[in-house]
Amino acid sequence: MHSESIWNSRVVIMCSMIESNLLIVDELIDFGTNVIALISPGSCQECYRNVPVQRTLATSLRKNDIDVLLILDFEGDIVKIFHDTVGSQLSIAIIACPVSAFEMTRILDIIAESNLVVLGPESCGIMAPSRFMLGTIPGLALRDGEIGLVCTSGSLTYESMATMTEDGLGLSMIICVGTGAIIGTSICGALSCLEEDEETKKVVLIAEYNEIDTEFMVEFIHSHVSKPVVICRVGGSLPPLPDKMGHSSVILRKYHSATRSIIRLRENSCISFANSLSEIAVLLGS
Amino acid sequence: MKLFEWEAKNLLSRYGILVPEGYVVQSPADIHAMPWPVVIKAQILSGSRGVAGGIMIADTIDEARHAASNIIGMNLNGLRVRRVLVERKLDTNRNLFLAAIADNYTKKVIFLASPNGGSRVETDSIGELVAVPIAPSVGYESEVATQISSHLGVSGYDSASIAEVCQAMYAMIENEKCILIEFNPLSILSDNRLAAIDAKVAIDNTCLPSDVIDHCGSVYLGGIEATTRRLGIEYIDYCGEIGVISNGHGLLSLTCDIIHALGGSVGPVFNVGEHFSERVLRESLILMNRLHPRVTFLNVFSGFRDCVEISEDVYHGILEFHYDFPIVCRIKGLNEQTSHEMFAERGIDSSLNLHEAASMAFRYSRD
Repeated sequence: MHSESIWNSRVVIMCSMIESNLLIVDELIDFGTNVIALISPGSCQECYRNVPVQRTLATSLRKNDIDVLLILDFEGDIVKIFHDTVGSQLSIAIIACPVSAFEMTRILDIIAESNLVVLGPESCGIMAPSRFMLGTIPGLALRDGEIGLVCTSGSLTYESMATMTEDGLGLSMIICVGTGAIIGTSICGALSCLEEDEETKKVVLIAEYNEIDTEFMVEFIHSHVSKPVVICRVGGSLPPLPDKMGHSSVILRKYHSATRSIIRLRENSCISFANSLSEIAVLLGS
Repeated sequence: MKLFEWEAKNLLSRYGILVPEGYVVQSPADIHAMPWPVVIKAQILSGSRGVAGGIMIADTIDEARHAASNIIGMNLNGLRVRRVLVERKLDTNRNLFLAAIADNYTKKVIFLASPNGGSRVETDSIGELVAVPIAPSVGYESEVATQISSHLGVSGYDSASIAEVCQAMYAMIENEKCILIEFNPLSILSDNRLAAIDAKVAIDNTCLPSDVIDHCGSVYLGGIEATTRRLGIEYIDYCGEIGVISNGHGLLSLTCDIIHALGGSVGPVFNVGEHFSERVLRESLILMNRLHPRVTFLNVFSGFRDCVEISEDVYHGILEFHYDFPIVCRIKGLNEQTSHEMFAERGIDSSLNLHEAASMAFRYSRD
């Protein structure tokens, strides 16, 4: 996932033609996103704001060169939808709606041999305030800047963007990896994208405690990210950990840690931990 | 969504996995005669119940009722205990560990097994564990159980039972959208049957089919929990004073952190989900009214939904349900300023700033 290739992407949006979805479509078109088709199986409409409305992804892929698929909702089998992408030039798929972990395993297996990057489920997408908008990130009054933000769930992403903007921080790119037991591109994938993005000089990662293996994350950042990183973990105050996946999560963590190859550490990496969103600005020295 | 142990065991029974005979009660008086001894287990969505005093053994009905009266109402790991599971204590020969989990690292379902069931399992060395990933394109194959049985050192009848359990676990993942099924211990009983003595089951939050709720017997939860399950609202009953309604688990966690940092204590919390409907929001207000914390803090970041519409729903909800305790609203997103002004005109506490809104809620909790 390279920011340069996202700039002029040809985007297709899969959605039912309901008001809440059309608000998102409007926002994307108004921003200047190159929406070339909508896919709405149940719709009789032929066109919306001069954008053709097609019935299936297969048809759309046949008729257009598509770079990005944004799924706001879908009818039928989501796995079949991804079967249809095999062999296409699609480079990014953003799943904004819920998809089960079991279906995600099958989707990610289907696309394993391709170059398709999947964000989600429940991802609000990827956005660079001065460059592109792909997803369901509302038009907040964002400041353009040099901080790349990686976040998990949608509302946490919105909140983080709003707080950072209020605190005077400018954003170069925002990536929401989504939430669920199994997601497409992981936090590490998003961090790698920000490492490659020339506009991004500093990185902020915001996630819930149980969504990141801190030890592994620190190790990954030390080895793959040269830019300063601030990690903010939320949910630490909650008395028990109701989302903890039993003993299994601890065992799996240990298992992966033992089977991973040893990563060579960078000497110049800089990681700090923020205890709250408002501490991020302080740690970034703004 | 994590199921209570008794819900998990109902679901397991439907898939042919043996669990100890038992039933759930909300009052010690509802405990009736059954083969003794029994285990009385607090039903909360948290681990380490035994260490915290939430699990007791009883040899008679009086002991059972006494244990239940001690446990019900307890604050266990910060959660309120409302029910106990009364379960027959079974004689076990061997305790194993067996789990299936959706693993985000490999993007696969993985079976985990260890010959050492019980709390020791987390400290097992890697050599004592076996992890068998399932290739999504192939699905479950009998080889999985063969590998697990071999690692656990079981053969013959026990091995056949392991195979049946593994197959049932995979069917639950496929049909019921389970993301975790964990038996610790899975015990070989003195009569050689295999039983899930303790079970943890979690179902995909994002797509909870309503029939799963029926399969779990959640209808017996009654009241607030049954409604939240049905509507897909995540509900946790913390013991503090400030009720929180938020959309998305991340935002909810952040809100709780801020309340905590201010010195406040979080009470019942509802996560109405990222894409909440008008009905879900109204039901949350009704339910919060019934739980009656000292103050309700509604913190919603709406994304593309018009905040004015949400505010109207909230306002009419407050009028309709006769809220007689304070509510502080923070609704961010499209048209947030208009929505904030609307609240102000109607005399409802509101702020667009998260810290300011949380501080208002905190002050009410101390009044």
